[in-house]
Amino acid sequence: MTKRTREGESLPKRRELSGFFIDGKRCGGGMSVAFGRIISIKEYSKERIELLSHGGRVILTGRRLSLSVYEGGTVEVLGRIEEISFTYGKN
Amino acid sequence: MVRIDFLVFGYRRITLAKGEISRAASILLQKGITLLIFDEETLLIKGRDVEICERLLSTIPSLKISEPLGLYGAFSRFQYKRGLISGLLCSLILVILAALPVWDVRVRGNDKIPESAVEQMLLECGFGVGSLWFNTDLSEVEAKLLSMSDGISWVNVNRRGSVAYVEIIEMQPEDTEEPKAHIEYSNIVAEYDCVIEAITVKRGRCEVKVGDTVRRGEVLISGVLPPEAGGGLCRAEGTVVGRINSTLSEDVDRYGLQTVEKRRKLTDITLNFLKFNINIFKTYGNDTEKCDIIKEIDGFSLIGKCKLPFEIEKKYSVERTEKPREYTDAELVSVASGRLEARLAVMLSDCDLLSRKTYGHFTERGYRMSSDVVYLTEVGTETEIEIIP
Repeated sequence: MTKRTREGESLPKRRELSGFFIDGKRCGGGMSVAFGRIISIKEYSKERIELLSHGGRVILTGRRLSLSVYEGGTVEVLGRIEEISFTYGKN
Repeated sequence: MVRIDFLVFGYRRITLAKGEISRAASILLQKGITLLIFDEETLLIKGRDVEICERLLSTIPSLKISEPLGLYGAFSRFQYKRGLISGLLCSLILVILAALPVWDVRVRGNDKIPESAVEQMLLECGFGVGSLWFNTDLSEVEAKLLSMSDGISWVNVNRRGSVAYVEIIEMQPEDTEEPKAHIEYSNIVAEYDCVIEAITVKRGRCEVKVGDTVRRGEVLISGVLPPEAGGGLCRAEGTVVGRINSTLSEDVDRYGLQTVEKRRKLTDITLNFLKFNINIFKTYGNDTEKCDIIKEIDGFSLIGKCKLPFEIEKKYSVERTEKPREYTDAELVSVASGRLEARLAVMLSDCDLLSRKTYGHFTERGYRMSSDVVYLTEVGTETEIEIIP
């Protein structure tokens, strides 16, 4: 998307990757991480979870992962999380 | 991950084919339905969302929805067992009602004031077995009891379960003995007939020496100072140890009275579990002043000495009576020996025993046992010097 200036120049609109928030803490099953504004769950297995948000993807790998969905698109992942990676864009 | 709201308000388990779970979760996520995923084939949803989930996931052929689970599910499964539910509710109400009144009052710390008297005073204060806890101000009961009784100096009423524990401290009798007058001048005189074994003089003049035989009342350390020490009177101080020869005798009659148990009455049964005491049975209003209280504790064990953590405690009040009896010769010697040993143990508690010779013989009335003892003890006692003006 572009935004027109008064002089007629076109500047790229600033894209924000902070479309979701992350809240993590230690708990009994290992670690609990909550993501906001999730729109879809692309993949679920005990070892890998892939979540889709408006800004990009979140991929979690680990062991014994479980998933809980709350109202407002908040998703909480609990288990022995080993790696969290973010990718820009929906694809 | 435990969801309390799922457990309390009920939940359903949705089973899907492997690989369908992320698709189903995405559909439900987009509709704002909360869910929980534990494994790759199952997801949990709230009980109230079951209809909308069924509609949303109707395109998935492998969809299976379980019966209601959780607490709500348990209740809904038992909806036709009304007898069981009503029984549980009645039990709960009974337990709550049973905790309202005072079931037992136990008095502790009383020595002279009998338990029944304290309970009677508590009843006059408006507190006793059957009183309602929520209707009773314990501090007011304590204040009333204190003002009512002259023999109680402190009282505390505690609630433990449905039992009231009343702890009291009785008033101590005032010391009526007059304080001893201060002695200004004194002698130390012999308390027994003895042979002097050791003398230590701190103040005064020594009147005897080691090896002297003295009679009772004879001055050992004088409070009259010699002229070379300045003369005058003083308070004699010192220690005099003497050797005493004494004979102790004990007579036992062949015919006498013997105290025997007349009647044993069960007054209290308590079940002790760990540190908790549950009173099962108790009799009130019994006069137990001239009775012995006997406590029996029965423990339970499974293997060897490993005891289980509960025991049954029984209390009996035992009335005693006296009846005539005749001792045999062996019993006479045994009884006399026991009594003589007890007297000697008391007499020689602060003495050093040097020698002892015991002998006995049968008499017309029974048996006499005697002991000749020689022992060392402190023989000096202080007597005031009276000054006649």
